[in-house]
Amino acid sequence: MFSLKTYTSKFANIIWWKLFERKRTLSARILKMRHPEFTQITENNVKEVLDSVDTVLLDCDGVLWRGEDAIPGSPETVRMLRAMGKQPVFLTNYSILSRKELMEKFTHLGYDVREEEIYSSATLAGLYLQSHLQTDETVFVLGSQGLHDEIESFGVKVAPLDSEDHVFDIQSLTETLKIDPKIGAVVVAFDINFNYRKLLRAANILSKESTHFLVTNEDPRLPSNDGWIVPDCGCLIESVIKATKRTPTVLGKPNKFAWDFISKRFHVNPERTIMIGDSLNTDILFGYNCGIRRSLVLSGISSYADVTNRIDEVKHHPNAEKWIPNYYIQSLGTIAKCLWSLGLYEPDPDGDVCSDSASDETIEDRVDPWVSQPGTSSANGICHRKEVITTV
Amino acid sequence: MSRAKELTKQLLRQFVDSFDTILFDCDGVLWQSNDVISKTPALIAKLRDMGKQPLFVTNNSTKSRRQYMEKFAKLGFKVSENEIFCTAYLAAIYLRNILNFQGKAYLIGSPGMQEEFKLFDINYTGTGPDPVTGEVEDWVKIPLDPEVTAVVVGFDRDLSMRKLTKGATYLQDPKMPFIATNTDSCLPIKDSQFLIPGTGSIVSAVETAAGRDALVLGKPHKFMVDLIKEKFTLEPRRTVMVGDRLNTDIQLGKNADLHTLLVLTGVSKLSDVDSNLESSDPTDRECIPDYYIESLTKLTEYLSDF
Repeated sequence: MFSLKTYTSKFANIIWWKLFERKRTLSARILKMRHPEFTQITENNVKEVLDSVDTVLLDCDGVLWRGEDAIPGSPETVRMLRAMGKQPVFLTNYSILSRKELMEKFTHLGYDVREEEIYSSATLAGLYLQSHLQTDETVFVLGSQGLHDEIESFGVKVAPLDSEDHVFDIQSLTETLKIDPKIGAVVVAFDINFNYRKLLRAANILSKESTHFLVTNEDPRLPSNDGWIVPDCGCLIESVIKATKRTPTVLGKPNKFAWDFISKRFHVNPERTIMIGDSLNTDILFGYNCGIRRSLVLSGISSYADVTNRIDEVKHHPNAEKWIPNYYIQSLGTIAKCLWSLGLYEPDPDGDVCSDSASDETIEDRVDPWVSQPGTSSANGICHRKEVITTV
Repeated sequence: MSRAKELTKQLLRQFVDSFDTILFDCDGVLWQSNDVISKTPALIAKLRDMGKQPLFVTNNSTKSRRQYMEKFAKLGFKVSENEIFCTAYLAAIYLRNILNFQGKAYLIGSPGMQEEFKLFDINYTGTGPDPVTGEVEDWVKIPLDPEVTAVVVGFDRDLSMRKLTKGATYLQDPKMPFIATNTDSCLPIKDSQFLIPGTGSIVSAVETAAGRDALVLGKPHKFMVDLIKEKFTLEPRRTVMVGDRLNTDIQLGKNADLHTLLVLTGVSKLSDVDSNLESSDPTDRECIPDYYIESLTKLTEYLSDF
């Protein structure tokens, strides 16, 4: 027989169950994000994966190009993503070129890209400084002309290089060194002209606690150049940190500074966004930090073995899951190739998807160019020389 | 943990009776930049008269022992070259005696280091300016020197990206020895308005690029003390280390079980001692000097009545 008490009790049960189900579904979703299955994107699942995303964040070096050459099939994939209504956003730690110069590179390599879709670490520096510096403050930059130009394009004045920057006598250094009090920030990036005097100047500017200490990225080395190790920003940062004992604000991946700008600019839904990159330490970790799915391409820095090593590590160091991508794929061009095989995409006959040259290496063949010996794996990466896995 | 005691006239007898050998750091202890700290030459002479053996231990790798002799003489000290233990000398000795070095060292370092290397017949390459020309793509076409069999890093005012590139690339061979003179973060200078990044900054950059840690010879590592023991009688409990920096001089004292005296004319202040006492790092908590004194000028004045 119906009674108010029974009705109320049943209603309460329904509400409770719905809340429980919602929590369970949310937990399951979080669990899947946190313990992703490392799945290869193939013809069997490519459509399902693409249907589940609206925004595709793309790293550049090792994904779209290697050095000055486009990776075969990548321009096709970007065109195809746009044709499918996806929003590509290009997110690179590269700070050497201004956005204008990067656009020229994109165009030259056959990519169809709009300037507002490009977020380099130089752009992030400009965005940060624009909002954090007073109008009369300037910034001291250890970086390229492209970085100078990009920062200035945001209306922020870059402090001129000291005319004595080639002087090396220690005694005269302290006599001639004059620190402009209007300098409100130091940006450390890849600087081919880095020298002791610049280090000295940066360290002394940073003696004032209120001066912003920004770095574009923490990568210790550029991708391998025929066996040569070319230091990247990370080395210069360690120098400055050692001298000043200050901790920098990192603008580039894996720090999620870019995410706030991108998600607002493109009205991004995190659950329908994917980060595609070639580096576990920057791209995949960035994706984890932003709470989005991530796919590794094997055409750049990190290898298949790097991921399986991480999967093994998770048993002892659960934090290692941050570096495990949801998906992996040989290269970006493989996406276009898969869709073409399924008859879902008509490639450009002159493009690389049709050619057999796209993605010929097998997954297991790629060797991480940074790994020179056991125990110094780049898989943990940034500035770590010992097997430091637990510090994350 | 006992706090550091101020070395007063009352404690002087106890202090003097505790050592036969006295190790002095130089920068910030005997001089500041090129200015002698008042009365310190007289202190050294007085200690010799009292039968003590003074020795000079410095992490500064910019000068050879001969160049240090010139500086000592200029500032009024009477010192023998064999009493000087500087890291340029340490690097040369390490390569010659410990590594039985053959081949060539890729040296990121100063003329002082070059002089010591020549004295010990150690071939080296890479010193002096190596400025950047062209693009990275151009540099990597020039082959590295196949005779290089070690990378040695000290203070180098000609630091450049090309030097970092070469050093890091040589070090990809895991068997290549990687030696650093010291890792001091900054050099003490008289006008404390400025900060002079030390060898530690340079070594950090090379280590990061190479993905390897250097073997560090200078304080606080014990190699200096081990070397001294080969040439002089050094009984740790009858030896005092006098320095101005907690994490090198006083730490060396702890590592080698020496007595320690902190002078306040250089890098570390009493507030740094207090910070160490309260640190969560046990190494810092133990890095407390036995004594401290405002300056060696004061010690000289105390000893004048001895």
